[in-house]
Amino acid sequence: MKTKLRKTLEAVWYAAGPAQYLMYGVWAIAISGMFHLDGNLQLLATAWKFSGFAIFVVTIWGTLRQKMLLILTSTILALMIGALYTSHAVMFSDADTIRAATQSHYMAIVVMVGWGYYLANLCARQSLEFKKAGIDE
Amino acid sequence: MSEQMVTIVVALISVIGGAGFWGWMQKKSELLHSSQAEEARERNEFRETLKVQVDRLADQVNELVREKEGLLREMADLRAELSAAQRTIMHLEETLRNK
Repeated sequence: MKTKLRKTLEAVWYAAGPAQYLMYGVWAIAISGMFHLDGNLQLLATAWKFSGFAIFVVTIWGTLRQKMLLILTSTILALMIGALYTSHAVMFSDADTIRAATQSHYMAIVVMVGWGYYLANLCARQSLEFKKAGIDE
Repeated sequence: MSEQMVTIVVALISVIGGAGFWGWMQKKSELLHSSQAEEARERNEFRETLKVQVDRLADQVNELVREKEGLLREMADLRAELSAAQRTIMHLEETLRNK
């Protein structure tokens, strides 16, 4: 049972296929629409959404470095939106909305930030491996 | 503090914090990677040294086998010579006894 758990964790840790990146892009597109920010802050959510589309494109046609930078951008945007939502939600949401949705919003941010860092780190590790093996990315 | 300032400060803190965390992660990955590469290099070096030692020992074993075969051959020659000498002595003893 322990071996199976270790195997699964290792498979997750080294899962470098495009499915994960595409899935991250899809989730960035979907989750960015959950945040009710007002005015100029909404632009950040829009940028996050477009970063999801861009991850899609770069996963298929881009280089490893482009993919890493884009995922990192998306992650930082998620972090910014999470922080701004935390500090601003109370200004434009009523108490019921905050009570009902806050946990889900925080959960979504935590997942997207953690996942984003993991994927960017995966790209960085792949890049180091390519460099070690002398393979051109 | 105005609302705009709060927005800017919060955004700046999240960007700086996020970038700092990424820098730390990147540094950790590079250190881990370089230590793994160093370990692999040391393992290869050890393997190479072992290979050289095994080759040297194999050469020594071959040399010893050759020397042993030479000694066995020399022993066989000596035995043959000894047995010829014994025959001569026996013949001389026989001749003396018959005189």
